[in-house]
Amino acid sequence: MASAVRAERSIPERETVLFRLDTDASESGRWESRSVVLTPQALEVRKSDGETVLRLAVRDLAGTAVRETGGGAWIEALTLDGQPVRLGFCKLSGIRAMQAFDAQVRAFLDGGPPPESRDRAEAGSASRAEDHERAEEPVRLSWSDRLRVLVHLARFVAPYKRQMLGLCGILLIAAALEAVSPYLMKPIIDGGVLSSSPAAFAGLIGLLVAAYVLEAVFQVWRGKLGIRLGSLLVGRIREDMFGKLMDLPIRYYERRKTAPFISRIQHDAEFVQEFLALGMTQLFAQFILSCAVLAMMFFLDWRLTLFMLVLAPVCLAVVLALWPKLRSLRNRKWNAEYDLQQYISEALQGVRVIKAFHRGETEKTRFRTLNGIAVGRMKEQAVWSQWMHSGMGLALSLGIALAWFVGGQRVIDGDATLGSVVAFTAYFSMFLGHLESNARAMGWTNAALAAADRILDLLQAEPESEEDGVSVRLPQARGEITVEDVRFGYEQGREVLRNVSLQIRPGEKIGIVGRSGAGKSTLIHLLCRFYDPDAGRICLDGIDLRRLAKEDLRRHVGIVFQETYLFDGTVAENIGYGLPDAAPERIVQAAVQARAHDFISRLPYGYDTMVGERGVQLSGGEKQRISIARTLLLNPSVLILDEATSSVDTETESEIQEALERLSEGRTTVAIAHRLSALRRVDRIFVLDGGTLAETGTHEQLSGRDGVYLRLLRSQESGRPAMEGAR
Amino acid sequence: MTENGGLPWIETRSVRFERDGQGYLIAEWLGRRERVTASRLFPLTHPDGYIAVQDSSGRPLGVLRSLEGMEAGSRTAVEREAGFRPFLPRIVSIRRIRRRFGHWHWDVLTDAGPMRIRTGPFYESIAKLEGGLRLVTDVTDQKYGLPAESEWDARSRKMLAKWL
Repeated sequence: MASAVRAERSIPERETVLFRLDTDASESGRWESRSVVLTPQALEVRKSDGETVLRLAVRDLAGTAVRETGGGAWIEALTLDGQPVRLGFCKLSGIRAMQAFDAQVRAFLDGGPPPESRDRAEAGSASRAEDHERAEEPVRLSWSDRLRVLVHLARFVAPYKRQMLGLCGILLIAAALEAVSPYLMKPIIDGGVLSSSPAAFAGLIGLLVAAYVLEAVFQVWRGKLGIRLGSLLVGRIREDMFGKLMDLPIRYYERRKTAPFISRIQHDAEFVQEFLALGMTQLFAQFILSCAVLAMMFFLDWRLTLFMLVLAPVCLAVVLALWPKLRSLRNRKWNAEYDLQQYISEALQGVRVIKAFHRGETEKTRFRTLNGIAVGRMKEQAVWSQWMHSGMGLALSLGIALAWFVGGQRVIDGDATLGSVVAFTAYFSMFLGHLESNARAMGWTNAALAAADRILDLLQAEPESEEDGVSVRLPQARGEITVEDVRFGYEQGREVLRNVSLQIRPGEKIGIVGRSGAGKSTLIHLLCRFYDPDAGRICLDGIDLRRLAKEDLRRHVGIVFQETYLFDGTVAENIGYGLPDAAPERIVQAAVQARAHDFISRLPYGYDTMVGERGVQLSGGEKQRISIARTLLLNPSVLILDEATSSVDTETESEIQEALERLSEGRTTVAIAHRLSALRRVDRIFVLDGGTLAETGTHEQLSGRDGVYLRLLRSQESGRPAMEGAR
Repeated sequence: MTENGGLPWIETRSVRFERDGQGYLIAEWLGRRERVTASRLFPLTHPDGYIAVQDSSGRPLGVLRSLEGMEAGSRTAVEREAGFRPFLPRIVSIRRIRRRFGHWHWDVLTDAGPMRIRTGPFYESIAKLEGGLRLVTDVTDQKYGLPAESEWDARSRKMLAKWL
């Protein structure tokens, strides 16, 4: 360990820093910000004030290494005498930077150029609060952000702006009619009743009735338009949401339960639709009407109006104080319902296991607990709403009583007419009524905004994208695959593939083998672009998969999965899934090639027999052959077989194997097989071990070499399972 | 070490741990002295016990059922090493949670010091486990333990009651 020097304090005046990595904890696990710096002469660990605490001369260095610990990683230097020296620790948010630094140091020591960083750029989410330089300040939501969200919501309405304008117009007319009718009270009382003028009285009553009738007509009209617009909107929002779900990468679904998406698409869309179609227009109309009513109140008696308005700030303060509480209640209720929904979905999916382990009663208890919480939250919210409603009603009645008291005094004093006071109190109760309905609308708007938030969360998620936004078309593919220095992990800090490079020639038959967890299926997932590599690239005919047009990729790369999934539909629909307008001849031909035709023709309705959840029950082998026919119909240049025969018996396996061999004729084929015997006839075998490419060769070459393949072969011959369950 | 049903338990009193100059954990037992790693097998439910000890090549050497009775220096050394395997900070108290359209920003005090966390919506970021423990996952996949409700202080309770 002569090369590791715990350095004295030294801050070089001028130096060239080639690469630098910030770490969160020291080599001994003490939480302090440090940096690891590579200069042309040495690798140094420095404190935040620049003091060097460790110096390793470059001439003594063999390399660096990243040691993942789960939730973070240590970076180590490796000296020429084979000793590791711990340099520092980074949390997950810093692990990508650590891996990049590691690659840069190794490239520097090898004398090559620093590697081009294709790493996923992900900003760290957590930081030590006392580290002001790197601490991530919570993003403040500016008014422009709020406007952006509203604009995003308004986009849903944009195609229906004519209907929206019509609705607003109707609301304004209805508001005007509503504002006119109380005013008629004044001439009815002062000019009709008190002046004993039957003709004037009858005429004014006629006017009042006409205003009420028109008001009712406009209300019906408004309702009709609202329903029509609402239906259009809810359809549009649901379409956008489902479209987005289809465009999202598989990575998006990994940490999410799928059942709650049903609620989002159904209920959240309805909330937002109501808000957009009715809420926004109603709020607008209420605002206009409130202004009109207030103007009428001033017109009738400005002193009385000012007196009554003194109470407005009190009402506003109460409303503002209750807003966060209402919002919190809604969120808590929604979260409890989410948990319940998720639980029901899981219990139903695992019902066989529950019965097999006789856990029905336990699960009922768990349900009871979750249901109890959900019901409790529902009750909590309902009780609060009830109190709010009653409180508002009382406040309103007291307000009107006060208006009568003050107004009545003015009539007694001769400062106002009875008609004015009646009209005034009618307007005032209308004004308070609007305040009350606005307060109720507050809860409703909250629910709509929370739902909008969840919808936007989904709609703003990053979809599968082409690199640089440019997609390259590939009308015909030869089937050449190049994997260049690929690194990948399903989650940060746990790499599954490390620096894998390989080349597959057009038409070549390739087998991929390795122990469980070696990275076989992961490599296949990357070849199909279910995920993108964290570093490095995969090319089809020289084009990076990230740049290749999605439709061409799906057309040229066909896959037969280990687990077959048939949709609810006919056999023909399932076979023709990738090519919906395929002629029946082609479907039958694909089925014949997949050795599926015989059993299909024996099904009660042949190719039109329903399969899937509500259809006939097919065996694993039968399902697999339908899925092979589905892939065969696409006629892909590259065929991926992901342990396609692992879930069937030996007899069925040989039949499927035959179908697969036919399927792979003239195509580049990459196959994972759990039985090594299935790979004897492939051109080359790639052996993966611990996420790296360990060996390459034919079956004969690899069997004669004392390596991983031979060990796998021996363990399989001796009957020990060594190849199953790989991801 | 003792064998029990194939699992070697390490007797707390039979082993000593210390850190070497490079920050690595050194174990000394039965006349042997070597660099080892220590990782917690139940980092959330039993963070202070069930610590697996491996040699530097990752070969399992045994499991420490508990650190009770271990000499203080040894205990500190092994606790510090195991605290990073996995690194799963435990939230001790919550100072503030703020919601900013789609993201929740937490200011928390953890057993690894004060931290700022950014998560997605609660319903996607917090998983409840048996016994009331919760696992919080932030947007970078970093996980944090959140104790059962009965252990929250008043401020944390107030913060979480808004959402949970």
